Amino acid sequence: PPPAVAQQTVTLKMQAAWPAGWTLYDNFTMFAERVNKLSGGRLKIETLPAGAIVPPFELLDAVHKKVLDGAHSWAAYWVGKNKTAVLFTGGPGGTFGMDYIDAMGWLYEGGGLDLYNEFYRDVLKVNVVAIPILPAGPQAFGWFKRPIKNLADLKGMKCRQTGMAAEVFTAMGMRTVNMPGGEILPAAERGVIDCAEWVGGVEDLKAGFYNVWKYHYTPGMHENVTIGELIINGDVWKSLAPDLQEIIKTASTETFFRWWMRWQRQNADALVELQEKHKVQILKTPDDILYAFLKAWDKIAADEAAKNPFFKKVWESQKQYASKVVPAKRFMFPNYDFAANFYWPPKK
Amino acid sequence: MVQPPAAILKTIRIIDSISEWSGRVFCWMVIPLMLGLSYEVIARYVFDAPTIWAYEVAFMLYGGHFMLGAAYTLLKKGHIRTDFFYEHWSPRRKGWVDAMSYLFLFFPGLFFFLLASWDNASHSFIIGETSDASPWRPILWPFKFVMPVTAVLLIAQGVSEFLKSAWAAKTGRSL
Amino acid sequence: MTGGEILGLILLACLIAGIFVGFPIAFTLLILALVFGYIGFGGIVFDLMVFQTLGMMKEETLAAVPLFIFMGHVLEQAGLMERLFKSFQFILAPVRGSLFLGVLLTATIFATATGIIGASITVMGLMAAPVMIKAGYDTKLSAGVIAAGGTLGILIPPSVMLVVMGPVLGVSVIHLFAAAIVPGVLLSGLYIGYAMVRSFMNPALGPPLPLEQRATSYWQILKEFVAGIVPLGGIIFAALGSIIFGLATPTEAAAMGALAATVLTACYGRLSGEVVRRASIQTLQTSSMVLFLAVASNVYGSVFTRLGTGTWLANTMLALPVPPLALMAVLMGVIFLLGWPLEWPAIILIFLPIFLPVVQALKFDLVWFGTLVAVNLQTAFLSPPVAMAAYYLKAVAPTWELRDIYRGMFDFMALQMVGLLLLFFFPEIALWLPGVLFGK
Ligand code: NA
Ligand code: NA
Repeated sequence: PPPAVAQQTVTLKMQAAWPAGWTLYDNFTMFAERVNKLSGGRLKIETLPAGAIVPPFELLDAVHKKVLDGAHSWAAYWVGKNKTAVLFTGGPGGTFGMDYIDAMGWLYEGGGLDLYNEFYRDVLKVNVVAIPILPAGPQAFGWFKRPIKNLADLKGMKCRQTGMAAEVFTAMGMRTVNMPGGEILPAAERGVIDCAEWVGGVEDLKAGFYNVWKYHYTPGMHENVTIGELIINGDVWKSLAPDLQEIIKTASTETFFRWWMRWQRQNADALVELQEKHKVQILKTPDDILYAFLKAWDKIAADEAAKNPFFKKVWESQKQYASKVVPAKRFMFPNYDFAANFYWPPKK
Repeated sequence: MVQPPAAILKTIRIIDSISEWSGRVFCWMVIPLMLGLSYEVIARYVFDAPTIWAYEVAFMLYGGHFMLGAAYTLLKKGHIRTDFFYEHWSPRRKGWVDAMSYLFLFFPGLFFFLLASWDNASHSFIIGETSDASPWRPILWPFKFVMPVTAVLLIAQGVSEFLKSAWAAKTGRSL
Repeated sequence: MTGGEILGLILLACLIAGIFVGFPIAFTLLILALVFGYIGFGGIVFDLMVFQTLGMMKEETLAAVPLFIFMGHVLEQAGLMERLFKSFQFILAPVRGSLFLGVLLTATIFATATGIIGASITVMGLMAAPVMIKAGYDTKLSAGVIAAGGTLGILIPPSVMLVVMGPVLGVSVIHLFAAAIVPGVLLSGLYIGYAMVRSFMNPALGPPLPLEQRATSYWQILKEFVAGIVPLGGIIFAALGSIIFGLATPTEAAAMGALAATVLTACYGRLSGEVVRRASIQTLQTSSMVLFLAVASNVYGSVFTRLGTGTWLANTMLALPVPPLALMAVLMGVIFLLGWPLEWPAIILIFLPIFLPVVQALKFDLVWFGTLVAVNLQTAFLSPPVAMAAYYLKAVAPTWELRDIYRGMFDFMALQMVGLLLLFFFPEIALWLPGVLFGK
């Protein structure tokens, strides 16, 4: 006779750091659907939007305390706890020129994921397991009231920035202002701020920045690679059957790529809509601004490494990995512009 | 007129004066809140240089202000209640209802709030948590300790209120 | 229904029962959330309480609450309302019901400089009530006019109620401010129209003023008017102007308004350490009451959500076989009924989050919905038994019977209903101005 296996359904309650209307949230629901199917219904993920149970900035502590079984979030939200957190998102500048595949490579092939979990366990002392799930970029430089030609144009502007990017931009001489998310557009409408960073592409289209400002600059270096996380309470993770653990890991990686493909297409469509329907000027961020950004970030990172041993350890691990893959890629991969310009020469 | 035992009367007086003073001290937090945020606006337009600290100073003062003022508000009977039925009751009945409410509705909740918020604040202290709202990054744990301090102040004032209502329940006279 | 959802429904029932025990609502909410949360999902409910508290403490938008309250208390000391009222009294003296008109005009203008109702009713009660009594005005109508006029302070921006509502609905406070202006003025017009028609039909209700209460010269009228309105204009500019002209966020504007009120009071020579101390301590008590209740409501709400009852309730409502507009009318009816026993913070903070998913699913404009709720809740100030407007008035006009005050407010409640219906059927009343200002 077949063994009497109890086909118990496990339901995990998880909350996102974003509202249900955002495209980032689709990544979360896609993951939940995949887990449900792959497990034959044995594992269900209940997805909840930002704030449903705890405020977004309390998510890590909430998962640690098992108030939630898990969360769909972004490690850089925890830079207040320790700046090392930003490095696990890929970090400003990639970091060290890495693109998404390189950054994922560092996590999975270069020991990054072990450092990531070591960071949560030993440095932040939280009982959670982290898995990369969300490629939320490359993000745009932002929305501006007037055109900018160079770094000097940036200096007189007051911009809404948060997190690590705010720190770097402040070091570059930008006047950064913080305000709650819901007040950004009204503040923009009335000229309290001259520019703001959001996400880019379809997310910015949804937020409606085009109603206020007509200059959209891309790319940025602050989140050109930025990886969101799935975090699960450590006890909950241990209580899952080994195959369910594997299903979660696999579904995360699959969602990472499947959702990303769709998102890049959505972003491409959004750029057309912004330009044609809403008459937005989509412009290239001046190079000197991007250079200045990397310089300012390198200085901040070096200062942090000097006083934060774990930051140093992770930063050097990334640098070591990048020193192999980034220069190699320069030889192995054709320059993206090469074929792009051949088939779709930029309009004059 | 019958008076409660001296020890009880003294306890009530000491607690009430602590809460009274907590109110007199913490009520001033609204002044730097007003000045800080006004300065931010002026700095942004007149000096064309927004401050790095205004956002955090604002939420920390605001969050501390209303939390730390909760015990004073309890002393002054300022927390809204529905006196639909309550206002028609005799002092003795009010005393009974209040005394029971403090025992079963008030103390247990705040006791657990004290434990859990202490745990949260001390974790923040151990990892040296700073605020993530701006590049200023001030330490965050004193702000988190506002929670257990509020719990202690509220529990203390609750003891005083419990004694007052128990006396009213016993004698039909309010203190 | 799952066990959790049923537990949540029992939680809601216990809340409604618990509220009537008469113990402070904040603590009743907390303990109910903890007990039911503990049964539903164990000890993590205690941590959940901490996270919700922290979230509220970090809600920078709400820093406008203590600041607008402080502004109101300081302004009360400056004596501006007295001057404004006096000048209206002088100008309008020969008209029937002139004092009604004076009170309502003063209250409407003053409403653009204060975010609460207490200050307005207290000052008008102290100043206008004795004059009205002396002039032989009808008690009920006088009380109604002062109480209703005073409640405009919390509808016409700046408004503490709208500041608290913004984050709950996820709508910008500025958009809510813009949406509330026209309905506020409309209500003021309804009050004025009603009071004037009543005094025209029955001159005994509000006779013209006796000669000794009229101004001796036009110069005197002008002086009072300028002294009353110009400085008030400064405050209005600091608070509202800084928002509209793009100088500040709502929180910063509240700070600017409070500072302007303080400076102005100093210019009038009425600022002292004692005045600031008293305003500060009153501010502490009021904002602690509102915001601590907000903390407790958030804890309660998140337990409710985690039990799954919120979603269940929303889905059940959406499945009702009625058209969306009828469902909206039902929601407004429920909010109106809740306004009889409850105060606005409790309704906005506890019940609005429960209704919100329904309103979102029906794709109603949230700014319009928020304005409807605001007008609806303004009515709650006038609806006994928990009618703050009556209490404030009774405290400063002790010779008026509470029964007469209630009776007088009743007519204005009816006017509120008219205003609410107009807003319900003509959403442009709320949405026109935000459309003009923010181009939506
Ligand atoms: Na107002
Ligand atoms: Na009422």
